[in-house]
Amino acid sequence: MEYQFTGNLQRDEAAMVALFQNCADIKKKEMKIGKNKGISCFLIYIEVTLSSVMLRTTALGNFLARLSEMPEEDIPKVLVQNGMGLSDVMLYETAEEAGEGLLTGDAILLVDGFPLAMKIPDKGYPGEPIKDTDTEKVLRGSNEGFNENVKLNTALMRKRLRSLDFKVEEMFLGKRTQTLINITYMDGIVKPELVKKVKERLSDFQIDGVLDGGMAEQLTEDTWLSPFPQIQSTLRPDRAVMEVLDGKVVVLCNNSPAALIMPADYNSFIQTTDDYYQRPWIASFARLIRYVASFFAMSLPGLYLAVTNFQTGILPTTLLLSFAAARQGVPFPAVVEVILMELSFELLREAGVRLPGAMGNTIGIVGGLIIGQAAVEANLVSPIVVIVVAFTALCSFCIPNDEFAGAFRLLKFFVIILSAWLGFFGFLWAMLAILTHLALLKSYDHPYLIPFVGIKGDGQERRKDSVVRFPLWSLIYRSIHAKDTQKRRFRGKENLEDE
Amino acid sequence: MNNGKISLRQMKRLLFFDVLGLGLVAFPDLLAASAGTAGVLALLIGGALFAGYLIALTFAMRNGKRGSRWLFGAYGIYLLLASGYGLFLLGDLIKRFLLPDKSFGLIILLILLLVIYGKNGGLEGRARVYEVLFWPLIALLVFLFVLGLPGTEPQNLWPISFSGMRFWRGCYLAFLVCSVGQIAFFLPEYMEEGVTPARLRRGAMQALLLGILFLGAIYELLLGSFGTDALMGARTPVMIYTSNIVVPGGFLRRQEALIAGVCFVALMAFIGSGFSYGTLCLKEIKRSKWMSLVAVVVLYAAAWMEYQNSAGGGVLGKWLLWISPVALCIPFLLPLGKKPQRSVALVLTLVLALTTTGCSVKELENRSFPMVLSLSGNDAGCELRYQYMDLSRVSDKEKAGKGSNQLSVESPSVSAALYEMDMKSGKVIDLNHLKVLLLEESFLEQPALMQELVEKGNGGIELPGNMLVFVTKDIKAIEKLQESMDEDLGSYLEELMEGNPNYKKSGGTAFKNLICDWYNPNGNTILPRLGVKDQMPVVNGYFLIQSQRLGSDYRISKISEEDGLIANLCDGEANALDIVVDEGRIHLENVKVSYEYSRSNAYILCNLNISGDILSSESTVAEGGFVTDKDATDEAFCRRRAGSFFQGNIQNLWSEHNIDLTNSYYHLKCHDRDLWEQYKDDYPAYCDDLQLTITTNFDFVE
Repeated sequence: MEYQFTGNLQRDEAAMVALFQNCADIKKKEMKIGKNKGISCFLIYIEVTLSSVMLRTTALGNFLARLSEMPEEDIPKVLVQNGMGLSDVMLYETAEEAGEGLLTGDAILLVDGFPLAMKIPDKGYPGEPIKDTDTEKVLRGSNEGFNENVKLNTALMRKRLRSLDFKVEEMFLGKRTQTLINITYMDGIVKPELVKKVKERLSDFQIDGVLDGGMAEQLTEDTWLSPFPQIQSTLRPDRAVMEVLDGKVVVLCNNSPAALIMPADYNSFIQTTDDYYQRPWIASFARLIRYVASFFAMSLPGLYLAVTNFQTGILPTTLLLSFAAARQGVPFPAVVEVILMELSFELLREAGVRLPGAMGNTIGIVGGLIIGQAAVEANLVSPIVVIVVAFTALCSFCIPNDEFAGAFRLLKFFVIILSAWLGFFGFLWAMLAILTHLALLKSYDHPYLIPFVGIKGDGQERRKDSVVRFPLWSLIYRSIHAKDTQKRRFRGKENLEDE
Repeated sequence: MNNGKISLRQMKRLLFFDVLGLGLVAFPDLLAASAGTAGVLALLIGGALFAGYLIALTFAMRNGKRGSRWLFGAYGIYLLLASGYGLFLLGDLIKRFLLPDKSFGLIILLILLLVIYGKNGGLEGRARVYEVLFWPLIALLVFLFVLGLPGTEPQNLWPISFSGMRFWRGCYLAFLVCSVGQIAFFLPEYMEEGVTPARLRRGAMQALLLGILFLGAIYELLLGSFGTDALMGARTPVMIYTSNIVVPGGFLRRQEALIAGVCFVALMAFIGSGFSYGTLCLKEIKRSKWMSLVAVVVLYAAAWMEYQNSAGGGVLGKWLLWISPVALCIPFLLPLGKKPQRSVALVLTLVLALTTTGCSVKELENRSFPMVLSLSGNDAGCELRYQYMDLSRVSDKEKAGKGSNQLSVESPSVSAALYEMDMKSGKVIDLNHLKVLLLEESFLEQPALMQELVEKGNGGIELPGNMLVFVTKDIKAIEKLQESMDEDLGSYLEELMEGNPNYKKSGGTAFKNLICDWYNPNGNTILPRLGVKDQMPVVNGYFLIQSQRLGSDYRISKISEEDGLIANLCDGEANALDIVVDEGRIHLENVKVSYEYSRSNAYILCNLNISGDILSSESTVAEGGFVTDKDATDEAFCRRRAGSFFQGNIQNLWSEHNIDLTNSYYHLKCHDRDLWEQYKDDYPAYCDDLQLTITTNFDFVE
């Protein structure tokens, strides 16, 4: 049963203490305020979320200091009318609400005679400062990245998107963690049904805790069976803003530096922000490289097996004889060789992620030496397989999004097995199966292969921003995710007055 | 989007691939057998007939429901059998060209798995796949066929003749290929909003027209490359054709795997469409998910039975030829159906596929790659020898001339010899990289063996069509030369011809040319003759083969090097020549040969006009040097000597040995249709009536 505050400090204090019994990290402080120290007050907060209240550096500190200097008879009026002008103060009527408010990292102040609890923000929970992204590096453009504080992340977006139409809706996920989620979008550009769908999916489950945006992603994606992610994540505020301007919804999750973008498609995973900061020629070239890389990241080892074990006629004679000679003395069949090397590489990659700092860099050199050089000299693997595996890895590194690259890493083994079993037919079979899967896949009701499928008329303009990127002045239309009435995003000199 | 509807563009692309799949694999050899050089016309007429059918069908659909729903069952079975035939075609293609060691049952099961997966995703999913693949596959097709253009001979396309009922049979075949467009009957409810029946019909016709244009272009290329007789005798000629294409730069040696990919995707469209709509029809009788399983079983059984009967010419294909006109009438009597439910067939097919596996991978180091295939004739039949490079020599940095390895077998026939060689060798023999076919004169003189050899070559791609053919008196003498050569013999001979100006167009006579000339009779095949000079193989003459129909009567003539060069010039293989005279050499460039035919009393006059340039040089006359100088007398001398060279050699061989170096009979069909009609099946009469005259016209160029 909820406890309603009465203004009787003793009873109100007891209610708050009872709520947080056996919580050693919750600190309680009784104080006197007023010029003559005639009014009692009670401060309750989470340890480390408060700076020293004696120092006049925070709103709480200033507030308490001012109350301490104020005549007692003025204090109730000030509290009621918010005469201190504290914008972030929230008032709670019940102890349970005040408890939830305290858990957001702010302090709760109870004043004798005042029947409401005040939540006053202070230092807040400890967190990382804003820093550069470790991944999603770009050659040109800001490298500023999100951190774990959802408020800060929202502010980073707001900094870039100074529009009244930029909306931020809050909700909480996780029954026990009460993780704050911000749903951001551009009102007027986004399709209302998309926002509705996002909110519905986020509300469609109940779970103990959502500790990271990745959990929210998995609980709201279209199908878990697909290796391809249907929601994109980014650590970059500029990327998030770019997607919001295109009519997508971006979800920020507290304690998670990754923003979730929905819907997502194959093309969006290949794009990077510096595609738009660089000139179209180089941007198009880089994008083409990434598309080709995404194909080879999945198919090259399988193609190698198909061609060398089955359809040898494809290769030039000299090359084929060279491959055959290089395999002399290797004890394993080619498919075992390829799988062993691929698994070794995956081990290296995993070890490099887990090991701290300098050791993570060293593992690459050590692994390359051991696997590359020694294994070849010991005739455990042939040099060509090392080249194939290394090139495949390079291709997967070219894919900007790590989750998306992960799909190719998994599918690579599928293609390897089929190609080893059925040669070029197996390779074709695997490619067609994957393409069919992609054709059937959707993200929030949008086909995954947009803009290559399913659009017509001026929707085909979106192809100007796909495999190649046309000049910015020709990318007149927003993506198809935007409202039909808000298609146009660019107007040249001749169209300026049309809006 | 994602509402189960497709756009007009998606429909057109899907329909295009439906037509292309069937047309690419099953059609060219059948069309050649019926319509021959008039095949494109037959295709257009067949397409026009189907367009009429489509218009009639659209009007019938507009008039609403009629007729018995049980007809759906019959129509559904027909669609499934047609789809089963497509499954057989694809499975057979995969088995013959990509996976000869795997079981046919496994291959078609795997194809079915993919078909079911695509079907379960709905028409929208399938349409998207083909929407994405459209341009890449078209680009690949165009690329491959453009590369193959130089290998076509325009003479094979003429004359265009209509052979009565056979021509109309060709039109009917074309109509049947286009009849995949009958799926338009099912499409109205799947089309997005705004697509009226009239737009649907127009879109279907556009797709069909594009399909017909592609098939027509491909047919003309195949006809030009093979000739009518070789084309009708070839199985899946599009695969054989692409296996002979040379990609510039030499990065890819054989391209049949690439065209197999195109055929795979295109036939999948055809099979998928038939399966989807066949299942839909069956479910009109009884709405049960087990109907999908029934459909899978029908498809599998049809393909399997056709495969079992394929040695005898097949049953299903012939049956479909007869029953299709009746089946095509059924949509006029059917109400429009509803969408199907998901099937359970996927899991069952997956289980079946996984349990029918068999893995026999041949590792690279367990293969041997012969470079030279030698065939010689003897009393017992033939002797087959392979020469291949020892892999340890490839990896060994110090490649001293240690010769290459050899394998040989004797056998009564070529096929038996190839089989015995496979058994004898400890390693798997991979013939994909054969560069040279060396025939001993004794082999050439045995028509039955030659016939068997060309039939084997025309029946598949086991023997590469792009290997160069040489003839020699003594194979062992040529093979012995390998002992003193660093490079393997096959590569050496290949390079020898690549730089040879007498084979500027083709870089040598390829096995495929031998096959096509064998099947398309009454032409000249010129094969270089190898001899030995300074311990190296050299071309020191030519063999001219003039084959009659089916090789039962053919003639081999050994001709001199000079005569061979003239024959190459007349065939367009070369356009330069050095004439050795007592005073030196006369160099001819840009030599062109044109033919004029006329009738005079009882004779056919064939005037050969040979023109070109005589190049001069600054140097003075010296033994072995070029005839010099800008003196008019010398110019006249050169022209005179060049003229007498051609006159003398050509007339000499014709009058004394009845050898027509100019191949005038073969060129007749491109120049004079009336005369061709008179002599086309009567080469001896042509020889009796022919009078050859040669005029030369050379310009002196500094």
